[in-house]
Amino acid sequence: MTIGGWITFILSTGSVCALFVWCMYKVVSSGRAEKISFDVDAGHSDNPKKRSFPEE
Amino acid sequence: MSAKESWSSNMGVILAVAGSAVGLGNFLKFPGQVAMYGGAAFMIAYVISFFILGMPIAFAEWTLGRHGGSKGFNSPPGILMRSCPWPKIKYFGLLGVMLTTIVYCYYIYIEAWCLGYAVNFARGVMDFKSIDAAGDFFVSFIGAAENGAAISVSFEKVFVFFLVAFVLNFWLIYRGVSKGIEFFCKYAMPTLVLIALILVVRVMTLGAVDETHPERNINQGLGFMWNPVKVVLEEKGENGEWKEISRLVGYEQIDAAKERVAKMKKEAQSAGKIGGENLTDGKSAAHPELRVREISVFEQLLNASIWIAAAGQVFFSLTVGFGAILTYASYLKKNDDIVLSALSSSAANEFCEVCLGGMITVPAAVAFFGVSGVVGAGLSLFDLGFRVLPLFFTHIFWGSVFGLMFFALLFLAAVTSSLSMLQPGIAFMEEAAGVGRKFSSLIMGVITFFISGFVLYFSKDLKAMDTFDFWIGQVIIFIFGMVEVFILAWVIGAKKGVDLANSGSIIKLPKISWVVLGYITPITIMIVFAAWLAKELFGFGVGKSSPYISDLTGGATGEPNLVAWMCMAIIAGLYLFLAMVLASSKKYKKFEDRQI
Repeated sequence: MTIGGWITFILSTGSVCALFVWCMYKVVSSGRAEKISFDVDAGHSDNPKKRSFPEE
Repeated sequence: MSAKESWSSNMGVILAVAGSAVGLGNFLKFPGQVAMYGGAAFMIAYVISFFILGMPIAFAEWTLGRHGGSKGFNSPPGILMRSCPWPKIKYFGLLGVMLTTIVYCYYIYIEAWCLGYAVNFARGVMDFKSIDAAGDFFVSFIGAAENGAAISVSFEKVFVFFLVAFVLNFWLIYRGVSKGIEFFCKYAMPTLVLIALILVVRVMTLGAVDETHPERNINQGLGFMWNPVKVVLEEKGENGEWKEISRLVGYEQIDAAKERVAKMKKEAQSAGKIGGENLTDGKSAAHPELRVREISVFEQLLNASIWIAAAGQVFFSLTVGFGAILTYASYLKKNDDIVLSALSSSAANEFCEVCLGGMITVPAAVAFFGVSGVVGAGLSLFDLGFRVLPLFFTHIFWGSVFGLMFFALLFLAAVTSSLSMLQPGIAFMEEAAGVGRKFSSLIMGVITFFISGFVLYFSKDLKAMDTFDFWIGQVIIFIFGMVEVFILAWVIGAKKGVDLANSGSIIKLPKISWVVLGYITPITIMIVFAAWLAKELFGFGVGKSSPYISDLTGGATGEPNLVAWMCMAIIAGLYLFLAMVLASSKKYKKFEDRQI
């Protein structure tokens, strides 16, 4: 691989990695990663079990 | 009315959408495209396409989906009807249900190939001596030699694996959005990334796979993909045009080729065959028949094909324009984040594509076959995945284990994608026919079993799959994606669209985004679609018309292809059936009356 190839490779993979890590950091640090903001999670609607979760 | 389904966590929906996007294309198609079009040039076109095409369409889908979901609609017809002032748009929205259903029906067939290859690697029976042997196994396994050949109960035929994959998909989809799709993606996606990382380490630490060819190594494989300046050895044809005969990678190979050309030129000159007038410019050594040419990044970018390829790769890789994200986003609540979720799932897809896919497939193949060997074997998705790599795995230490891991990885990626293809249909049946999840799963199960059975039976030359893939998996997806963008940009309005997207989101789109969403993206997608149609359908620049048209008209032979026509009949039949369900839907009628 040429020097230009290494630069292309590092820039491409590095920027994509950085974007991915930043996004994951923002999702986790926002406190919403495991947040359930919904009022119902019925599993499937043939056997609904209504559950309520308070809005944040 | 039954309770509304929803995601149980933000991370869950991100992983589910990322799972929908991460598929075979990330690990097999993207590396082949980068290698074919040249590293830096393709990446420049790819990154630009990602920001002006991929991300805006993804934001449009997430926004329209959440918007439609807030009124209780989870399938594309309802979501589009909720977003437009014209109720009849629901019949266009049906395309979103039809296309995901049909794409599922041939995607499950490919999913079964991955499962079958993983199982056969686990059994230790994958031992190929040559690329032809690997190719013969592939043809026999999928039944490409003749119609009906795939339907046989054997580990070395795809049929059993098809049944297993089919049942797994419907078991998961029946469990529901949270307990089925989200549950599976939460485990499958991290597992997939872990397997890919192990494979990356294995590939990057490969020594000389073939000791008789020490020049074939990972460095050459990486160079083949990422070198910005393409160096090619060209030969002058009888018509005076130069034609590429091989790609040169690495300083040693380039210098050797230049020396060879210079030596040939000198020999020819001393023999009095040519004069100095045949010498080319300073950057190429010349010979009457051969020359080494360096193609700069700028010159590569002047080629329209690279832009069409990069835009197509971004479009299909992110599974935008598909209806799946639309449906997934409809299970969010009004104030749930969509901007960061859309960006995160797209970034996860890009990570799998560029950082993982880009470091496994082509580098490994080149390390084993060399550049000319890989180019000769083919850089297409199927050639790389099911001919070249199986042969590679049979020749490395612990190859069966790594082969099993690679195809298990592809299988996981395929299942997370196929689940997203079933959900729009399931959601449509639930809301249009007013049935529960159990019955809607049953209806979709019967429909998809017959259509995928058709694809499985008519396996000769993969004609049924290929026809569905072109007309539905490419043409209709492009059209559907374009209309989604038009709706957000011009019907709802780009400025309002940005406000809708920002509502409740953890990070906000900049206000200026409306310019991209309102003008740049719609115009770009129209240009790309027109260029793609001109090339793929009408043969512009290729010199011959599309084989998909010839299949229907008969072309030069005058005999239309029966399987291609049966595919068209299935497409029309499925659309009519869905339209009848939609026309008789009380829920849609009620909403339509209120809207009028």
